Amino acid sequence: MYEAVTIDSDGASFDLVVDRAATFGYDGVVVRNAESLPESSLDDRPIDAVDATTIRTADPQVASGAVGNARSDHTLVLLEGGSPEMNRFAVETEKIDVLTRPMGRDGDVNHVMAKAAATNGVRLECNLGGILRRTGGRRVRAIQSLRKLYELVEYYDAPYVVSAGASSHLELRAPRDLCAVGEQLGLPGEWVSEGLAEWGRLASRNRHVRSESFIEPGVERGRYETDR
Amino acid sequence: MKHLPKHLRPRWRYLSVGLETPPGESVPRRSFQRECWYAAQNLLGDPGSAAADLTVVAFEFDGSGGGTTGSTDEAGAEGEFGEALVRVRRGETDPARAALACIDCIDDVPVGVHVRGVSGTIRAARNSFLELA
Repeated sequence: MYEAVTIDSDGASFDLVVDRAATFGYDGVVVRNAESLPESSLDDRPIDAVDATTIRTADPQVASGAVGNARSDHTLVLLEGGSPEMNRFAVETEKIDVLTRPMGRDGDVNHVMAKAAATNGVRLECNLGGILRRTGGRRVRAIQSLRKLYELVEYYDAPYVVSAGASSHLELRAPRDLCAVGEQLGLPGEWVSEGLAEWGRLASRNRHVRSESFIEPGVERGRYETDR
Repeated sequence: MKHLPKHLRPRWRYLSVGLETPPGESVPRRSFQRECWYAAQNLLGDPGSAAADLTVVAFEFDGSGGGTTGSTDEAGAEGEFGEALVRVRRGETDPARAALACIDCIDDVPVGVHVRGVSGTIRAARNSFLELA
């Protein structure tokens, strides 16, 4: 299972996040803003560290260019939603791996977007951060948004990822704790753990696609098959 | 009052909890207990909170006054560490775990909370997961 984290630019806080994540039983961490970390800081970690970038803009045309640029440089390309236009753009763009915070700010997800996400393989992020760190009415709205997203994802079988939206080692929570929180909100524990594991599957798929041996789906560089 | 016969007494489980704060900060036991109750009430509601009955039975934090240095088994140091033993009713460990995960601040100090394990007795919890006396 993986957790997606946002890291301050200093390497020390990333060291702490990786240490705590390893202690809590994560297989790896996805760094949402890997470009702000010093080069090679993701290498030689006790657990897998996945290089990702998050595109934040309110203009789909700007985002389109940014996605094209980021795709070749990073293992995962995330796009932060938060408005109907950006959410729509993200779920219709195959090059984007994950639409983060689809219900943030003015954002909303409907059946059209869920179907488009399923067709294009864009993961919708279910962020538990709002439940873990907010209180009162804002927390109630976060729970409502999460429930709506869960129902749409389940009905249309759309791909999804789950995270706690941690931005420091103190905000990390163990996978089992997140499953327990999910169960209290009506999300099955297995569903939450599948969402945490999806980050890892996504990372390994993209690494394979970016590796030199991969040419196109079904075609790979290597030895001839000898048994024909 | 005369205590209940053994078969009518509530059964308990003990959650061993690791705590962490930024350097120079500390968490008093009373505040941690209060946050446990608030977190349970906010997430589980009054009936759920009453059913889980989160009670801190042992607590130790670096700088909390009277306590010795907390657990230092967390990798990487850089911060203050503590640990607590939280008693919950048997069968309510998952709701209790969820409530504890929702504690992010105690007395305006950001805290990291991690349930290290669940035990059936205090002795087992101390032997398996805790270093507190």
